[in-house]
Amino acid sequence: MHLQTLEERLSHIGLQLGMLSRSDGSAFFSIEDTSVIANVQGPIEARMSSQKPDVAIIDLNLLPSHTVAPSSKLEINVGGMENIIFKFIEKMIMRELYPHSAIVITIQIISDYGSLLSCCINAVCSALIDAGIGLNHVLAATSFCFINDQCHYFIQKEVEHRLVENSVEEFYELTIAQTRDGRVAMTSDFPFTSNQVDHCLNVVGKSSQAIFDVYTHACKKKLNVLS
Amino acid sequence: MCEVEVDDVIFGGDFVKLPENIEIEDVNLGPGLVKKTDRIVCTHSGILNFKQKKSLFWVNSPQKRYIPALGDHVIGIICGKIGDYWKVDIGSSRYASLGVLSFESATQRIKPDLKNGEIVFGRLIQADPDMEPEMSCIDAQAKSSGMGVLSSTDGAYFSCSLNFVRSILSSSCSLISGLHKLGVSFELCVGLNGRIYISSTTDPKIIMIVANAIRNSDTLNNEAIQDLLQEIRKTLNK
Repeated sequence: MHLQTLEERLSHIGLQLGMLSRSDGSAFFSIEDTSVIANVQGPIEARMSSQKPDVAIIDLNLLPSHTVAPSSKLEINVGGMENIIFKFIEKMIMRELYPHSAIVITIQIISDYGSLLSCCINAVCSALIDAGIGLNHVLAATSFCFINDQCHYFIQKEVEHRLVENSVEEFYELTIAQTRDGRVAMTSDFPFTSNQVDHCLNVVGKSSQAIFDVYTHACKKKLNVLS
Repeated sequence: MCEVEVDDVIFGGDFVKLPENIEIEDVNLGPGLVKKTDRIVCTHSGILNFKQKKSLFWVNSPQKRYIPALGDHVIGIICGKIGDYWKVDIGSSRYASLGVLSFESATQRIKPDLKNGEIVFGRLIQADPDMEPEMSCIDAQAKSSGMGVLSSTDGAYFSCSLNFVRSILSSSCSLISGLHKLGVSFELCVGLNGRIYISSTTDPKIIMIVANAIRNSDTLNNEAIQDLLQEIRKTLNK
């Protein structure tokens, strides 16, 4: 068992578009053992009370894989996570194309072994592409975690816990989402040093390129143009 | 900055790389692209296509939800009636309204009597994003031109993706011409909102054969479609 390099991690990405028959756009995205399904319905009719006359409203729901006791370590902060994901995608969707409508995005977590935020962002982007909704840019997210000064890419908690000598209580992730032309948006749940951030920014280009290649392949497969 | 060439997958926010000898002023843009200052930017992700003759760029993107466009022929299901208008479900975010008098030879005294669930084929006469769409079953000369109520004859109705519907209506697809050669009589109605209706007055079995042939052609290329129709022709001739 060794620390996985970026290339090894990237070879375990899975994406399938349009697997839900009743939805306008859907994507199943998995990195190693973490997997997530994103479902997009839209643009659909919004309730009279919540519709806006100039833009579409975006309704994002995150559904955890299982319900746990409130104080359990397995519990994820659903509301907090929804807000973070919403912040990433709010400016991505061209809302002014669909006034008086709603775009409802539902993310169902199938299994969570780490790197959940980046998995969710990638799944939502793929589902929006599948739904044919106008987008200002498309994001490919990568998550980084530093343990004993070593950078883990798309960390998977179960496996890598055994690699670490002193058992680490918390894994702090830095998630960097990059557009195709190199602009980044990032978030972390704990402060990182500027050296660590620089290292991540140097590496994120390769990782995003690989994720965009996965999107491209899935899109071609969907539109039947695989040569 | 990400520049994408023709026939490649383009994502929202990417720029189009113009082929040689094409100037930005001469370019015509189809769905999925907009012109911003001196560049062409993609808004809908998909495959970038180019037609040399018209200098036309467009993006073929996967889509199931219909966005109403003026002049499109669509198939809808009656969902209710408000005053002199029926509410029709055309697969867009809002129901379309269909006037009671928008049928050939309909007058104030003789109005068509449609129930919920009836299937109609009409044309969109108003498709503004800010207002609910409006459709009509008569053309500008007050003739039906093939539009009207479809469900008066028994048939099969199903929905499919918008790309599939556009490709079967294009001249490069051999599905419809192949179905002609099956030698069975049926009526096929294709709505640009991703809805298809097939009816036949001779044999109900034919409806299901044609419906299944069309549904299964979704993921097939022209050659595979010809093989499929060949198989069907053999079973019909037995």
